[in-house]
Amino acid sequence: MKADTELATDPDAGATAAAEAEAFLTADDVVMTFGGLRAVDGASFDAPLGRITALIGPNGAGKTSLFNVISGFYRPRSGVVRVNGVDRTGKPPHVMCRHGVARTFQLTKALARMTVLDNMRVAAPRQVGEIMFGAMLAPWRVRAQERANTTRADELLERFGLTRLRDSYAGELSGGQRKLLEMARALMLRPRMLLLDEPLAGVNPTLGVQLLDHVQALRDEGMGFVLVEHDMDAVMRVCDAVTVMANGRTIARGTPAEVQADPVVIEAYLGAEDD
Amino acid sequence: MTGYIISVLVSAGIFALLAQGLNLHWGYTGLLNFGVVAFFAVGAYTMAVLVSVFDWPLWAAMAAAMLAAAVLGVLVALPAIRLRSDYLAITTLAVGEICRIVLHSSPGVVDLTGGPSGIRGYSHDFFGLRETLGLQWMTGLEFLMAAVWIVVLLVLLVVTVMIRSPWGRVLKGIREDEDAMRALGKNVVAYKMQSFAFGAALAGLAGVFFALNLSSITPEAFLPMISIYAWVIILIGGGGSLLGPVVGSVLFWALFNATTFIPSEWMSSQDAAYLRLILVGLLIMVMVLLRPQGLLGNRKELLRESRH
Ligand SMILES: Nc1ncnc2c1ncn2[C@@H]1O[C@H](COP(=O)(O)OP(=O)(O)OP(=O)(O)O)[C@@H](O)[C@H]1O
Ligand SMILES: [Mg+2]
Repeated sequence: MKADTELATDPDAGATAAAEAEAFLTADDVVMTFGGLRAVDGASFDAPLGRITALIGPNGAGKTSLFNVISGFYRPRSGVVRVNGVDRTGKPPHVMCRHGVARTFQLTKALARMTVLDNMRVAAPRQVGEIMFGAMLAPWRVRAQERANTTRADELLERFGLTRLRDSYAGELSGGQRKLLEMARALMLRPRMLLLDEPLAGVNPTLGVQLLDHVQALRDEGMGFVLVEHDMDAVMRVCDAVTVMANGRTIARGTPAEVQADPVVIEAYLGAEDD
Repeated sequence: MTGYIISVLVSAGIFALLAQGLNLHWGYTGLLNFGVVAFFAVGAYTMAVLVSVFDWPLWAAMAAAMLAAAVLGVLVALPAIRLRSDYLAITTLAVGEICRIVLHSSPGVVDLTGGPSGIRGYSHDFFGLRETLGLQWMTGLEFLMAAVWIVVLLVLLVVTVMIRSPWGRVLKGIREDEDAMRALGKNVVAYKMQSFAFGAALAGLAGVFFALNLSSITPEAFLPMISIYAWVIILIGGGGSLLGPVVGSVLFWALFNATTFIPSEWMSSQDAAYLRLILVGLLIMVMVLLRPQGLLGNRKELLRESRH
């Protein structure tokens, strides 16, 4: 509604408003505190489908905390998280997942005493066999689903160069391999929006390039991404839009070029480096 | 010697069921339950009261015993399962003791359970089955042994199918990392509840056979030591392995009852009772030093866990 009226009066503002209305995921004035510490202090941003939105900022800016709020791990003190236009603030993670928002972790969470393949298959959504006694009541359906999920898991493992490690325990993987596994695993969910928390940290550069190519390919298919990443070259190369956080606030947003030139952003980064 | 073997196998079968319940909680879901005796007791008493006071048929009383244990499991888990695992440990430990005390002296309950003097007269139906099935050539104890082991194998089959199904894979995932599973869209609390209720039902089933092995049950038969035995069995056999509880239970009782071979001139039976505890303690030490993952546990899994 609002977008329509603005479109009528001011074409420029209208374009922005239309983009906003389209945004699949929005966070509005989110505040998240740990005791007295305001880790997120009024952050707002939005991420549309079919775009890679970078979320950058110095260490401790509150990026991971904001992720935790959006993905339902933390309940914000105030503020609103919307998915597809519907208020989902404070919904638990498995509900956010159901609405198409998935995430990975900065500190990887590999299921160590399970094989790489099982790490993948456990992530498949809507499995009949995951219902208690499901495997006994509908064995054929469970087996068929399991076959389909295994095929899909193998495809993703192939794309992420993990086929060789398929039957190893996830606990045996290196840090970089775990990052890859975690992203591949999140894709098993077929999310519409994927939040990636530093997916390149610890990944060898060649694989990192492949990983980003893959993200871009998925974006072109219509998936949305929010990317937290300290590797600025990578961010500037692949992202469509950038939101900058510092001290719990979102201080700037725009295209990579705009943000790079923004004095407020330069100030925030230099200020942080002074510490 | 046959007497020894049969008594070992009866106890081993009963405790294999109990330990399989604990294995589901701890070995597969990572839930610390230090009060399996509560579910064991509720199973035993539900069957005993329904059969001897209310004249229920045995099979119905058995099903009710499992159900009652599962319901208690849900009630215990409801407040505690969202908390950190050590709180669940404390809660379950307390629930075990509360159960025993309620059975012992709670007004109303005592009218049914007989309080400290216990309850009897619930096993005729079971041993009567021997004639019905034309198995009079078996002694009562042999019949119980056969029955309990058939149930152990059936339970093993069911648990194996469930653990190897996607449902079991989710439990293992929760054991490994709860937050990862939440991020993958699993309702972790619901799965923990299911695991807890299912394991409790198995403990309740074990309690039924425990009662059948005794001519009467009293609250003093359900000391916290029972929970500890189940843990020792898991430690010996290996948590997170399907056969671990079965093998662990046989070894545990073989050792535990071995002191009956000590001639009474050497040692009074009271001293022998202490000796068996010392033997069990030694076995635990040897296991922890040489095979911390248990006999059937996966060493690779254990090492991986400690590396990170
Ligand atoms: N669980 C927690 N308890 C207390 N304080 C926390 C917790 N998590 C984060 N913080 C604090 O909140 C602030 C924001 O942390 P956060 O991890 O969100 O930053 P970040 O932008 O992700 O940083 P980095 O780039 O280093 O990952 C920091 O000061 C951090 O110390
Ligand atoms: Mg972070």
